[in-house]
Amino acid sequence: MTLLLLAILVALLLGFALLRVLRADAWSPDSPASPFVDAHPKFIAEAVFSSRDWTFIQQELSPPLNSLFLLERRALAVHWLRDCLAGIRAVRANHLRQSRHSRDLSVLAEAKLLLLFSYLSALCRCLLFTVQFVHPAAPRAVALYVQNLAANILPPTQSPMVFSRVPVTEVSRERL
Amino acid sequence: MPEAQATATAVLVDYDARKAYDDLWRRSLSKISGDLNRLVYLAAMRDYNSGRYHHAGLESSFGFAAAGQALEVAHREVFWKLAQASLEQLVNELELYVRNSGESPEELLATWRGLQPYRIALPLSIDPLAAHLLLSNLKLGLEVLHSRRHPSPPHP
Repeated sequence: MTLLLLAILVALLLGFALLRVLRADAWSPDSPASPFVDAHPKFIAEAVFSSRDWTFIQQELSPPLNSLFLLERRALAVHWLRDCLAGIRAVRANHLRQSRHSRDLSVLAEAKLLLLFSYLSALCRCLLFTVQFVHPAAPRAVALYVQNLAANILPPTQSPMVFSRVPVTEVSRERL
Repeated sequence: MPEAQATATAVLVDYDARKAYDDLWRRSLSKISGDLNRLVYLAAMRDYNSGRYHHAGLESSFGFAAAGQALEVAHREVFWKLAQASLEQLVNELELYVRNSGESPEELLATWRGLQPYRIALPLSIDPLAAHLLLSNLKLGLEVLHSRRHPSPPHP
């Protein structure tokens, strides 16, 4: 377990270093709407990996409830992480598709992007493994870090209230 | 009527739909206590087969399309509010729902735990992860209410 935590720490440090380099280039993806962002309103990661609900469940003093909570949260965490991976793959594939038609490709920028995509995917896989064995709230910081990292490289999301069937111009989340 | 006013920021392009939406909040939704009650009410306005929303009063005043849009927007809005609620808040919502239902709490809890009718109370085409989160929290909330009524025996 200690080794695993150490590995995560090293990965995080590498990630921060990589991010500092990448921010200098301020890459913006060509994809207009990423499935990753649409599928991940920020509150979901906060809720899935939060210890707030766990504290509430523990106050009920019921071991079966505790077990059910851990089971449910693990399933949610796995769902979130699998969606993350799928989103990263989709953005990467889209970028590769666009790159084929580009005439002013920078090898260095492409290499940095490849590293970033690989780093994000590795973090997600690492978390997928971790949540099977530790409390779902334990890797919260890393999960939120993954979300923030992804938000840095992906286009801004539309509100989850906006949907296609009904024409909505703007939806405030204030009351939500 | 703070909720209806705040909801007015959800700007529908269609003028009639916006008016229908305001009317829906003013006349119906603001009089329903609890978002879970509102969610179930709005889901009941939706046809099981077509997925279209129907509300006789709104349709006669604003037309089918506007009424449908207003109901769908309100349904989504209530869903997102519940999806963001903490487990504790959701348990309070469930308690309120049980109290307002007029049914025996034992029967209602048994039905909801067994049949999980709340699954069909969600709007169509929503983010599957958000739906998963809310359904999971509702399941946990029901177990919390059940365990409060039937506490498990203490460990020897």
